Amino acid sequence: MMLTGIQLRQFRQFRAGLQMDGLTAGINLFHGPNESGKSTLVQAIRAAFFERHNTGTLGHLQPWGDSAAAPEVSLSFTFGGQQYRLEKRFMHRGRCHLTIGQRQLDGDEAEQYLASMLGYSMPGRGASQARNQGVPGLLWIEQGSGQELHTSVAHAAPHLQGILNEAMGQVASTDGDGVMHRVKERLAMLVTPATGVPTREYKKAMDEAQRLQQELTRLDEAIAAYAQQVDRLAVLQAEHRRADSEKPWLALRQHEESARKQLDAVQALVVEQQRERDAMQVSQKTRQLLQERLQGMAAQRDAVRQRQDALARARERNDSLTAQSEGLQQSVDSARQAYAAARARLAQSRQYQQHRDKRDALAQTGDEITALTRRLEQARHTQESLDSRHRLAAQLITDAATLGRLTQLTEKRRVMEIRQQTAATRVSFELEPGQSVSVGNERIEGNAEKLLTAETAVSIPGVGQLRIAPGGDDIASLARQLQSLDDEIGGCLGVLNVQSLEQALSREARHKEVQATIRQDEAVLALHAPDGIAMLQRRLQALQDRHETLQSECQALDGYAVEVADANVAEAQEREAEAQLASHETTLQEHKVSCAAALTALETAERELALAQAAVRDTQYPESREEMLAQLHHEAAQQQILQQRIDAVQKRIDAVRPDILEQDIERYARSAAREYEAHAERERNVRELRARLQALGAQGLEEQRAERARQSSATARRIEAFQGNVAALRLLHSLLHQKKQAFTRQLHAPLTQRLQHYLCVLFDTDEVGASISLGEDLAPAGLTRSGGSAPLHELSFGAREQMGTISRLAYADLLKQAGKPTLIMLDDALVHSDEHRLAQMKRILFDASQRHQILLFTCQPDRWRDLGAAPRAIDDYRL
Amino acid sequence: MLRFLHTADWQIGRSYTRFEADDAAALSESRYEVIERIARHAAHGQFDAIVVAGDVFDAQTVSDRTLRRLFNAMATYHGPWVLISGNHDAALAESVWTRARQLDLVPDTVFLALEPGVLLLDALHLAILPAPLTQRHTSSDLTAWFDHADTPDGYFRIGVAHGSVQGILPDTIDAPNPIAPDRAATARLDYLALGDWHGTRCIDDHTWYSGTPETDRFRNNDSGQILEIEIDAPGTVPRVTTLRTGRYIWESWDQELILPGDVDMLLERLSRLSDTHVLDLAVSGSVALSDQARLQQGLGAAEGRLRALLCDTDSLVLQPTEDDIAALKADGYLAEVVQTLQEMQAQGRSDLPEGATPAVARDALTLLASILDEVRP
Repeated sequence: MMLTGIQLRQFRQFRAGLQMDGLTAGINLFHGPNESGKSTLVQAIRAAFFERHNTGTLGHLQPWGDSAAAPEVSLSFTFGGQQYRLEKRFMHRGRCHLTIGQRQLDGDEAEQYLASMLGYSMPGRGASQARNQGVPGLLWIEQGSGQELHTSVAHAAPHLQGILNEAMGQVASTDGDGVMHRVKERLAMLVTPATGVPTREYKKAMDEAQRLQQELTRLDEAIAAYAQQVDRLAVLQAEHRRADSEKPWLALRQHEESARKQLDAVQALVVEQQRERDAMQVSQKTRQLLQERLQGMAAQRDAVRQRQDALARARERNDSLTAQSEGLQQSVDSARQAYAAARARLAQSRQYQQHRDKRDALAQTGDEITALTRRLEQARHTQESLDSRHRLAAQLITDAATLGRLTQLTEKRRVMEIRQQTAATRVSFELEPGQSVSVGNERIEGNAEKLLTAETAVSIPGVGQLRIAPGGDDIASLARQLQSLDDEIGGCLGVLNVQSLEQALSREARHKEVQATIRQDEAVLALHAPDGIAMLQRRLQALQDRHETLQSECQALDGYAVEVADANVAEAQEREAEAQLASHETTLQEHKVSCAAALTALETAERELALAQAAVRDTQYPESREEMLAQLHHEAAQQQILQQRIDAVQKRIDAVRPDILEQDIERYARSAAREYEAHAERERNVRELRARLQALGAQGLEEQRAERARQSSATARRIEAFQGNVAALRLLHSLLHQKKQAFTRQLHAPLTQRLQHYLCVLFDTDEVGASISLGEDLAPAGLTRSGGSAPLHELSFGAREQMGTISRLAYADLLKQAGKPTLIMLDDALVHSDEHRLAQMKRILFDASQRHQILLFTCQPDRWRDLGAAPRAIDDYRL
Repeated sequence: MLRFLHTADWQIGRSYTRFEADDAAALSESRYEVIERIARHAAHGQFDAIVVAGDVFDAQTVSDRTLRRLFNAMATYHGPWVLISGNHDAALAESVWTRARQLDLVPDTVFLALEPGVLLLDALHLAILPAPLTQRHTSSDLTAWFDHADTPDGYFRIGVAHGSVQGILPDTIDAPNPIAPDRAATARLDYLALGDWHGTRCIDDHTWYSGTPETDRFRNNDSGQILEIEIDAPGTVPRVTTLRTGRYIWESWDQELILPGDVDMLLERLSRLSDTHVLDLAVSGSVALSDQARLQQGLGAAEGRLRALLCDTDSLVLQPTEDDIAALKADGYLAEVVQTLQEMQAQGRSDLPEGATPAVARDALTLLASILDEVRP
């Protein structure tokens, strides 16, 4: 199908109308800024096909505010070699007229014809809805809805499905979907759709099985416990019967009794033994008393003897001490004398030392006086020479400034002379031998040379006089200057009082010499009398005074000072003597103290002896010592006999072990009691256990268990049936699904192939494996790329738009193959595509345009410049 | 002449786990009913005594009601009953017997021989030599003491025991509790009444298992009977007559369906069974879709008619005929599903999806057929 021309009148923006002819196959690009009427044009084409001519609800098609307008749209197109012209007017005097070659159709008939030809339906009444718009609704993409596909596909699906089925030549399955529905329904009755977990009756059966199993376990345990208790009862009963006949506690009682008898016999022995022990104790006490008395006697005697010994010792000590006293006193006296002598020697030694020291000082001051007198003379002599040189130096002194000036002037004059000589007239003489000339006042012979600076007369004898005047002004000027210099030099010489510069210089040299000598003399003077001669003289005087004093002192001592010993030795001897004395004195003192102590000890010893003797004298004993000793002996013999008896009885007691016997008695008594208690306890237990078992038995545990087991296996059978049913349903479900999918894939193959065709262009050629999967509704469901697959609705807006466009082109291809009319309209499409994708989409669109007419509306003509289609500005076609 | 009834293995309180509740209840109930019939028969036939050779009860812990019902069922016969304990109801320290005594249910006419020892019924000149079980299992021959037991002269010596006669019975039943095969001879017994084997069985002229009076398992072993014993005088050979007492007939069928007519044959066989039958049916082979529906219907009918029906069709393959397939009118991919399910039923396929077995595939195919019936108006 190819649209060739459009005319509009009184249609929204196109109040006056629009006339556009010469639309071509392939891509037609319409552009214009916003509000230029692009969308109105699209709307007009849609209205021409979709809207009923006689509906009154299309007010929005009228120019704004013009309710009297009757919007008109006429379309010319070709399809299948036929020329079509559709003229349609809305709102007022609505009409529809379709010309097909020579054939004319009007009104509803024309509208129905077009609807079935393009694959859409007319609305029953009112404006056309999306659901009416079928195939064109899918292929004519409205502004901003390129990405939205599912609803459009849904509305077009019956048409597309029809085409696909026709192509396949077979039906999917008459009852397939119905069966699938039932299978799902039945499965949902048994298991949850999501997780496949049992539900409803199945779940109840499972729960019941579990409950029964638990109950069975409980019953099994109870039955096992019952059986165990029955066994226990049998054991208890047997034990009880045996105990009842054997009565083991009686035997134990007999054992106890015999042990008790044995113990009583032992008790008699113990009493007898105790009696012997008492006698033994009395005897022991008597022995002890006797021994104590004897010991007391011996102790008193020992005390007297000891006191006597002590007294003798004290006396001996006192005597020896007294004997020592005199010797000690003598030692002290002699030490005292030695000390006095040492002191005297020390005093003498010190006096001698003093005398010797003074003599040494006298000799030393004598030497010092001699040296100082010599230095004083030297200093005086130097001082005189110094004074004469100072006077000479004063005569030789020259004024340094004048001397400098003189030197300068002399130099200057010499320079001047040189200049004068240079400027002077040079006269050379080479005279014959013996000849002479006079130059001025000078006589010349032989070879000579003369410089003439002033007019000079040369008299040559025999010849006359030659007057030579040097040429030039300089000579005269120089001569004047020289004269002035000579005057000044003469002044200076006068001041200095010398004849020449040389003399002045010589005098100055002499002055310097004298100065040097003065400095030498001054150094010598400073050496001998650094503080001046007067000071030196005072020192000498002081020394002389001291010398006299020392001399008189020495003379005073001369008669007394005798050399005794070295002072140090004398001092050491004195110290030793003193120590000796002190030592002796201490010894004497200590001795005196010892003497006093010895005396006291002596007196004490005498007193103690007296006391001890008195004690012996005063103590009285009832028996004599001999009697006591005899009694003691008797008691010892008695005790030995008693001990033998005690031991003999002990042996008899030990033989029967009364402690163990007592334990035996307790043991047997307790055992008997325990046996009896155990017997009673067992009887009780038997009774109780029997009662318990009777109660348990009455519950009919095994009958209960059998019933539960029956229920359990019935439930197991039900579950098995459910399982079988579920397995069958699942198998059926999966097979149905699988087969249907296979069939659908086969059905979708042509469409998939077209999609793949475009997809390959959209994605880079190197991206192998990109594919679109189709859903059952024929809409693309997901995109698979090398990176993985994603549902379509998760793709970016731009990608969804591209997929939407590609899908539509694929549908169009499918329709074209089936010989259906195709017209594709894109209103402001692909605005979200990036440069690269847009470029690919252009290739795709161009490829599609080889098969379909594509009307592309845009407000950005620059984006579409490379589509190979001449852009049309909508405004150009406005009437 | 001494005339008495020999029975054993009443298994009172037994329950049947493989059956549904009502069937199981009816089968349990039948065990009381048979005792009532025996009692009536003994009373009516004026028998001298009834000897019960163990396993009167199926378990030790039965309810009081069960105990009471048994003794009520026995009440019609006033002659002496001699009961011994078996392995199921061994005379333990505390047992079903002590409880019966505790409840004072045991009338004077019922002799509970729960300990070894000669029991003299002087009026009948009868000496009973019982070998009751006092433990659950024993490995010694409890009848050994019979050999040396003295009984008054001119008294009948009748032994009663519960266990396996060595070397004669298959090993499958309670192998413990052995009994010497020549005990009747060595102990000079006129008759040895045995219990434990549920089918009637003659060991020798003087030694018999009576079997259980009401069948309780599918194993076909000549059960559901009691024995009538007549002994003219001590030392003579007894006359033993079997008497049918059981109500229910237990059968076990293994039916393979191969030919088209096999289903009809099976249905015909089933139709001959009545409400006294307990049937264990295993169906294998293959069946067409249309036949399967008939089979299911027939099985349903039998289930309603018989006392109990256990049916195992796991090995049955559903093999739709071409007509079946045509009738299904499955087109498009549905037809492929039918095809695949049919293929999956073939045994030994390794490429089946998880959880799918030939039986599952058969069920799925059956389901599909029924769903298609539902879906179509």
